Amino acid sequence: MAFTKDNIIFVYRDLDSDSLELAQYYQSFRDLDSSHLVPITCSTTEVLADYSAFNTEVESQILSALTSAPLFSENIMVIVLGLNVPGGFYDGTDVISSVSRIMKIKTAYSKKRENFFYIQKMSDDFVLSDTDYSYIVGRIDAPTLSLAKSIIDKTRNLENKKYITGSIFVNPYFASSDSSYDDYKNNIVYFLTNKSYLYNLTVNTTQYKSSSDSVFPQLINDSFYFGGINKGSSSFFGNTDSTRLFFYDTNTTSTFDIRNSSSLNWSYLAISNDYICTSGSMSDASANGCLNIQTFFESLRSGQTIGEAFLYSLPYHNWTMTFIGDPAITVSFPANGPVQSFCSGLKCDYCPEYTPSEIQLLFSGIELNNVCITGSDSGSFQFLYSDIEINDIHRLEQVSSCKWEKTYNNVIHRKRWSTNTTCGGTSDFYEITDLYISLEIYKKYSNIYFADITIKDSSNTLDTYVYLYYSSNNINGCDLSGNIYNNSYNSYLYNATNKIAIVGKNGSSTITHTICPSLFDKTYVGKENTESNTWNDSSINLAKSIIEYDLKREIYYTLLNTIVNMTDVSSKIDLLHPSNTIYNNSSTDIEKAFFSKSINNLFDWARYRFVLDYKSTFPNKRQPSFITLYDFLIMKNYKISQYLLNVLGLTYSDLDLEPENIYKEGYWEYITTFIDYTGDYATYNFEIDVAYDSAFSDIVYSLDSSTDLNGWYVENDIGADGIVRYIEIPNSGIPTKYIGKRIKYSSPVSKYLTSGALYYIRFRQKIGSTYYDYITSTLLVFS
Amino acid sequence: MISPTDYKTISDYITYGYEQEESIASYLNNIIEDLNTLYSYMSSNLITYGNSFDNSYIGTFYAEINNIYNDMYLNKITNPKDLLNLVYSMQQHITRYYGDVNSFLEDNSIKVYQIFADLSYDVGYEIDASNIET
Repeated sequence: MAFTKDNIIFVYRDLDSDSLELAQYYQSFRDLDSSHLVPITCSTTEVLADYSAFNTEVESQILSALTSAPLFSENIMVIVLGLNVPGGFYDGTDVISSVSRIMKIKTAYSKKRENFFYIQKMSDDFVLSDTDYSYIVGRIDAPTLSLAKSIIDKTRNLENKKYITGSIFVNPYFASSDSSYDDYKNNIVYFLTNKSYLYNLTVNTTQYKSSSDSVFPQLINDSFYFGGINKGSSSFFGNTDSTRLFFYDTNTTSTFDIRNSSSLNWSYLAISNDYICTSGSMSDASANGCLNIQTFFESLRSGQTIGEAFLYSLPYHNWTMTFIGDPAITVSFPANGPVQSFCSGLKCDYCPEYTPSEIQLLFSGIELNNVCITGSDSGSFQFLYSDIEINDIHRLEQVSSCKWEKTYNNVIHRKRWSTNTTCGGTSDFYEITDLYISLEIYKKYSNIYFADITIKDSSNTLDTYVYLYYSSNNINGCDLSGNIYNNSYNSYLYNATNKIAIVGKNGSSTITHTICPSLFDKTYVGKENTESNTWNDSSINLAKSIIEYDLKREIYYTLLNTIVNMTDVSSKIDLLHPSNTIYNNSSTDIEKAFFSKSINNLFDWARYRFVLDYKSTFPNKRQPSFITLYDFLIMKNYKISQYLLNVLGLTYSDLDLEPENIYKEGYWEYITTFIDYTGDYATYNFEIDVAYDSAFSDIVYSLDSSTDLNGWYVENDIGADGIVRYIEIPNSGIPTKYIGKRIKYSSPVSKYLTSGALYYIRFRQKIGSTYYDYITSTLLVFS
Repeated sequence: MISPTDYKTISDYITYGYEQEESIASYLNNIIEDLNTLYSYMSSNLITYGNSFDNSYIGTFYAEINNIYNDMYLNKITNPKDLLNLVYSMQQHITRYYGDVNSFLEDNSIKVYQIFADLSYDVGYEIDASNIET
């Protein structure tokens, strides 16, 4: 969110006392300047006959206000359409929503235009220049003034709360007889499976039925609803103590008549049953016109307003979809990060209190999967913990006086502290010494996937609780009675940070301490990704620096030879010594001394800092205390330059590397960002020229994605492992939905260049025969 | 005495060599900037490292890159002693066998690059703008 009240206008129906009252009510709520209330002369018709009528009654007057004093200089980004302002117009059989059209008010009307921002921005703030493509627009309308005002009242109440607490209801199993919705529904299922946990709210979903649509019988304690069923009734909305924030239904007429108090369309039902925002289509939006649920939620979680979330998840402008509610609403989710399950002990602001029975519920029905921790059924508490710190794990393994128990299910490596050993403890203790387990727990916890973690006792019954506890200083284990063990066992647990303990106990007890999710608001994967990318960039920059050094030596050698070959003795006498010094001081030995330490440090960084990714990449291998350079490069899909090895006087085999770990000699790649030049939907192709000279008079290769796709790629996504994934550019070129993504040319063998040589490269985009500006840079072939 | 052609060739190679020193340093500086960004990211995201899972491996690399960058910067760019010695020797040679350096350049229609002119200035021989490539 990058706008304030000063960027908002409220449009109301002139000479309409109710409409004015609502406008003033909103003005008071948002503290708008009086000049930001914009009257328009219009009818009370909710859906106007055609665009011409809409333009006359609504659009032209708003546009005039935006481009006239005083608003034209006031950076308006948000437009709220008020009570009794027309909500749409007919275009053939389609009903185009006012919201959708006014978003695109700066450009001429043309039905169903692709939204430039669709699934593109999400976490980026909306800025003034974005209004060239779209405004943020919402509509506050209802059958009565009081109901419209209640939307504002409830919005105020919501914003006084720290975060939203109600459940997310998602029904992906609708329109069972319409296959055109299959992709859309699959996306919803993907969201449910992979993303919905991020919001730290209870997520309810329906079950798939092969022969009919699925429905929720009723919404209870709901804050969000996504679904797709036909008209309903108020009985669908059960009791709730939570703020009902956003209701979206894909039904083809769900927002057709928000002002009709007898309507059975969903949007009216939603606002009359306490929802403060709703969205849907005024006439059939078709499957490809439906809101993108993942983008919508991600935008909200990124701190964008609900109006921005709607914009970024909306496929088309000038189309049937509308948004009812205040677009300036922001919402917080219960925890500041992708974690939340149960929490109480640390009493942070984000963590709700959980009772033991609630925690027990979290683990009920858990199936044993790939992680299992066993313990004896001693009747007393068991203490299990894992340490994500490599060297500590390593040291733990050197505590040899304890009994070891090797594996369970080929996964757990554990050490047992029996009651009377020198390892201490009064009960049976089990340390997890397999880093994979701790990493998995860490990651799983971050993603609140506990489904594959459990503790069983020796009778193989699932009567054990488990929970995690985090400390910034010491490992602090807790038993289920809330006793913290950070003194008795510190001699074995070490002082260190970022530890996680897992504590279990047979039988029932009271849990009073659990993890605070806010301490884990950044995932491990993200950290590693950033760090490994920096490693790779450093590796390339170091290689380039070495190449420049080699070129320097060649220059100084030529300089020395020039002087050696001079026929004049006096000048040779005067200049030979200083030029020889220059050359000697750039020798290969000097170069090796100059670079070798940094290269070795670079390799050590890889070996020791990325071990935590090891097990996820090599699930069948034992977690070591450090990894090889080979493993690191394979894990991250990186290669290194031969120049790094040349300086050290080594070959790849000296470092136990394989040829696949080294860039092929002459290989090069070029990566740039896909830029939008038109502000409209278009399909681009790309050209690259590689030349020996900066004037591009001596071109080595001219590459054109429209005639030869070999080597051209576009960024598809960034995986959970942090690796940027590319896909081949299609024959048709790249559509604007990829704006901001990376475009990459990865040279095939036929286009290799001379290793270590400097070239000049220029890149440009084109649409058909329309060419855009070149981006020019140098290309040092570091392979 | 050195021929005008050789003088021009040598002065050009001195310029090219100095540019290479700058290129070497620029790539090292890129690494430093990337590492600074990484550190910033770590601290802004509250990523901490304990005693053992520490940052010494990055820190060691960072320190070494800083070392060699500073070495480059001090000894090859701000005070490139070796190159300055050669420039000084060449200008002294001209002074001794011909006279004024600028006259030598002008009389032989030699134009040197700005980098060479700057190095020459540093060793006490200012080159007129008219003798510098534009």
